[in-house]
Amino acid sequence: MNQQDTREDFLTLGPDDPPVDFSREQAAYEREKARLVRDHPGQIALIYGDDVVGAFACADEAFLEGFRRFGLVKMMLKEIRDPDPPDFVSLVDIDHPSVQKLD
Amino acid sequence: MGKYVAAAHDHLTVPARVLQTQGQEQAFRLLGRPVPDPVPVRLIIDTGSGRSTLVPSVIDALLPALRRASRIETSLAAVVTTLFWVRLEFPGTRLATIPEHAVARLPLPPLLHSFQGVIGRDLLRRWESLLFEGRRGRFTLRDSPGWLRMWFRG
Repeated sequence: MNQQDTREDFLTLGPDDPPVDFSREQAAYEREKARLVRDHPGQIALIYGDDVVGAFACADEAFLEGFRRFGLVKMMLKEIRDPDPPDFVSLVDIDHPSVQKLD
Repeated sequence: MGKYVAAAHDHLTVPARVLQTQGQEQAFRLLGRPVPDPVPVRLIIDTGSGRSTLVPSVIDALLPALRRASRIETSLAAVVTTLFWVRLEFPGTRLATIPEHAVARLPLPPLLHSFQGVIGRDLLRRWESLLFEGRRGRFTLRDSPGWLRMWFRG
């Protein structure tokens, strides 16, 4: 593990902070989605920056592999599934600053 | 086999403790960082929600690193939030610990400020049953089949 890669600021969130931006990691997942859905349905993908690192049986396994390679850095985990519909949640304060509304 | 029986008041609630997953605790220890203390919470069972949630203050106290972006639909708007994998324990019940589960970081409406999150159908699916007995004024959660059902199954 390279200690220089241990940038832990990303861990700290304030109660009013908006959602974490994962647009780069999400784009990387979308590029590989067809292959992942075909070969690893139901598993967890680990994405670091622009790279899909691999698919794992559970979230902890994915995280520990990412930690071993890169340290405690911003990574994204994603359940590999298709279709992947949005979740419905009924009890939400959508006016809270931590919530980002979509147009 | 674990179960939890409680009175059904205005809300069906379950006491829980939220922790980092074991993998993340292991990473923190390797780095010499203090592992955040478990956070006690009271969760509302909401069969209308497809995703379980925790309020931002609970998530923020745990510093969870296992994350992804998530699109959530509500009755009023579509929103973006972050999903975090956490461990859930249920002290005071006989429900087994859930080692990792992805919950959305979402604030509850102000009228529900005494609660810290929602148990949605994603979590209920991991358990055997939720039984609501209206006239008896109680509900029962089981995380695995009861002994009678196991006996019938042979």
